[in-house]
Amino acid sequence: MSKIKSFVAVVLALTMVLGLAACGGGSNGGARKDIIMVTRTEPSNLDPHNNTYLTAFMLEPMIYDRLVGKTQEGEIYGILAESWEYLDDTTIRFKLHEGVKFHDGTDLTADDVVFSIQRGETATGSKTFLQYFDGKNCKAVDKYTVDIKTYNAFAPALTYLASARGCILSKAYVEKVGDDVLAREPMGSGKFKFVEWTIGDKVVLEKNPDYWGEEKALVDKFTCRFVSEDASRAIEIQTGACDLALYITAENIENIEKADGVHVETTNSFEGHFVGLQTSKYPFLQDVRVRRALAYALDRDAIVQAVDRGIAETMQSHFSSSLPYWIPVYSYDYNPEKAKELLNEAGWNWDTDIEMFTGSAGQTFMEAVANYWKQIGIKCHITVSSDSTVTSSEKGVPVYYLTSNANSGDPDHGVFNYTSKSNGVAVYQAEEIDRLLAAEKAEIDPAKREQLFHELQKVLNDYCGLIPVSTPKCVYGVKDDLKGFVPDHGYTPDLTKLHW
Amino acid sequence: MYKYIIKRLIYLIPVLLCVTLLIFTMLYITPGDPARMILGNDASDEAVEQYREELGLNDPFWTRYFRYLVGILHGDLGTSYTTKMPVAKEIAERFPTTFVMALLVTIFGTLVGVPLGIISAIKQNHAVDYLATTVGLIFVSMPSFWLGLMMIVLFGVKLKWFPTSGWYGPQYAVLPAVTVGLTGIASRMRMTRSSMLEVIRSDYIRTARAKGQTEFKIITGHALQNALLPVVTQIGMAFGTNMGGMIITEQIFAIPGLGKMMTDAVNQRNHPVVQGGVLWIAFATSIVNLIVDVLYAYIDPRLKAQYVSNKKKKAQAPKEAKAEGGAAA
Repeated sequence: MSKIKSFVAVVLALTMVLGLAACGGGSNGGARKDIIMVTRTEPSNLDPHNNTYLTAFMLEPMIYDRLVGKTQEGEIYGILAESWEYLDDTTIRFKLHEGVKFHDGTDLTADDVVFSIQRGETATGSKTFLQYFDGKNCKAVDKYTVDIKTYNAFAPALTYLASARGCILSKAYVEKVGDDVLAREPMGSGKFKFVEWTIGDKVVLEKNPDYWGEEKALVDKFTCRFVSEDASRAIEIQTGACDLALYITAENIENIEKADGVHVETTNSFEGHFVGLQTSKYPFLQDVRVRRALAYALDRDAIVQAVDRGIAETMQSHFSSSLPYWIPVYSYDYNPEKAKELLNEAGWNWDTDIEMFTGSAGQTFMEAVANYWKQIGIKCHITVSSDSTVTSSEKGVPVYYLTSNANSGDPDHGVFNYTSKSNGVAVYQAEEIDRLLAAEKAEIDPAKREQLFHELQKVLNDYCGLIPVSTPKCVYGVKDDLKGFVPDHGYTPDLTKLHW
Repeated sequence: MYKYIIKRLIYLIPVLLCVTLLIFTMLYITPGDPARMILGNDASDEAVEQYREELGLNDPFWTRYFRYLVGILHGDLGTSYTTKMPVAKEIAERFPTTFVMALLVTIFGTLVGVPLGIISAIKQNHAVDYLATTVGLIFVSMPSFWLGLMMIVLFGVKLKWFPTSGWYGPQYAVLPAVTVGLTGIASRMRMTRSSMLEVIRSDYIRTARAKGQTEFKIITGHALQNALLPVVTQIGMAFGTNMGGMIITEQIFAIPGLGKMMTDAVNQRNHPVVQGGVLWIAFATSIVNLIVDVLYAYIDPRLKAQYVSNKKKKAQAPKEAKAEGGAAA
């Protein structure tokens, strides 16, 4: 018995010691000098070129500086770049600020810029954006002047450089520590310095007191916590345990609005939720009348209301209305009679059973779509799979749930599903679309590019390769006295301006 | 005794080998492409294919399995697809949190559950007994994710007594530990009660009463020590299971333990982390079971006799040893 007692005593003592060891952090009262943000997903790393996590796209620009930034209205402004000019269609010359220091005290020079572009051009996470840049021919003219080349005239160049993938890394640091260390211990020239990363829990940043620019960070410490449960995230902001919470879901909005000292801010996202039609592989979808009939059969407003419970808007074009050059072109308003007519005209075989595929995230969405189709007599069935399998299997079915997020803020990013190469799935032998996509990428003059996008949207609407349905809203839970917060369309708000 | 421990440790090898084969096969046949998951929707097919090649996902099953086994033998559980960190390091970083949680949960469940079980056994068929067993039944049937959310709503949102998520100090441990602990209390209480009831009716307890021993001493000194054996097994098993992470609870309370690591890894098709995690759970459970078995010997002198070497056994009490051999097996 005494042995049991002593065992229990040892266990208790151990618990206390470990309990104390687990302490640390916690909230502090008085004048706040720190900010705690809660988001959904933990990124795999904080290497600007090696991940595609929105959380990383938020944190990286705090630690690193980019050549240019982009305002909420889509205007480009200089960060590291004092000025820039187009030397020709494929060359932009940037003049860098002098005296920019990395967190380790070394100078940021034109060589670092060239190194970053070259690295990003082929790296897995940044390739989609930076593959248009001709890294080999980018060159440092002098210590503070750099020529950035693109392979072809490329209109979104500045927007893409303003994205997190355009962060400028220290060549010396990357070469010294290697990719694996860089991934977990980022070091840049930004307003915040990386402090620690508790895996599965949080990333902590602190103010960079020696920041080269005039606008320094306004708080001493920034903590980004990862809470994957929607309800838990909402409760964190509701109880005031955090200052900013991202990805608030519809059912939690009311509770947050009712709580003291916090409120909800919403804005339209850059996302689009579509019914994807696998035109290139399924001949029955290659008849435009069938595609249009499938669109006519859907009461999209009702679907948006039912599925997104009021925190979304019905899409009127093929990308989010928050993106530039958007015009409302959608012309297939709910008309089941017309849908039936078109299908009969196309000689539709009413025994055809359409296979539909979605991950669990799109289940209610696809069920609603299927119901509308069934109402006019189309046979269809849905296969639902766990989220991870969607992307690998979606190419094997004619109809699937597709989402896009043009978080760079460039409309080109919003129509990437339409390219006939790589991931383009919605287009089958549509030269006009291919031509316009190539032309808008190459058009540097904004006015002309706008015209091209207007034309493109009309053509896409006629072609009807995807059925655009909803653009969900970004919903943020925010403390009332938090200042400097601007709700961002892409769930990547500028966090360097937050203060009390 | 040492022989026994070594023997048990050797038995571990085939067990763990089976576990690796099972989990490897399961992940192999699960649909979902890790490369596509990591690179995201807007990566091109070529990039995904190239990445699959880099990760070695295109190799045949046995090649991959043996590569994995060889890695384990070298102490290498693989590299996480997402973080690019060694899996062993990730487990090591998460484990202390889970260990503390498991310990707290087990202690809470035991300190409350065992006394309750004793009381309801002594007061069998009294109101106290009915109340305790009913409450126990309720908690044991309650899903812990629901209980957790209710705890959060009551103590976090309404009363604001405790923080609701995170792991930054003792106050953060209260709600999750109580949530998981409550289900533990119930099962521990029921086990203690039935075990006590059995013992209380035995002859030596009647003898103790007959010689005029106080009821308190009879319960604590005589009955409890014998009744505790099955309870210890149960505690050990529960602790072993909890060491693998309290998957749902960790998710709800955002505790960066093994459970959260596993759910994230499964969702991301992060095979090395899932494999490493399962292997670790199997290992931890086996070790805890071994420790419990060894503890038995200290709690129960009858069992200790078995571990004494055969020669001594034969010399000392051959008949006794033979009789107890069957019971322990």
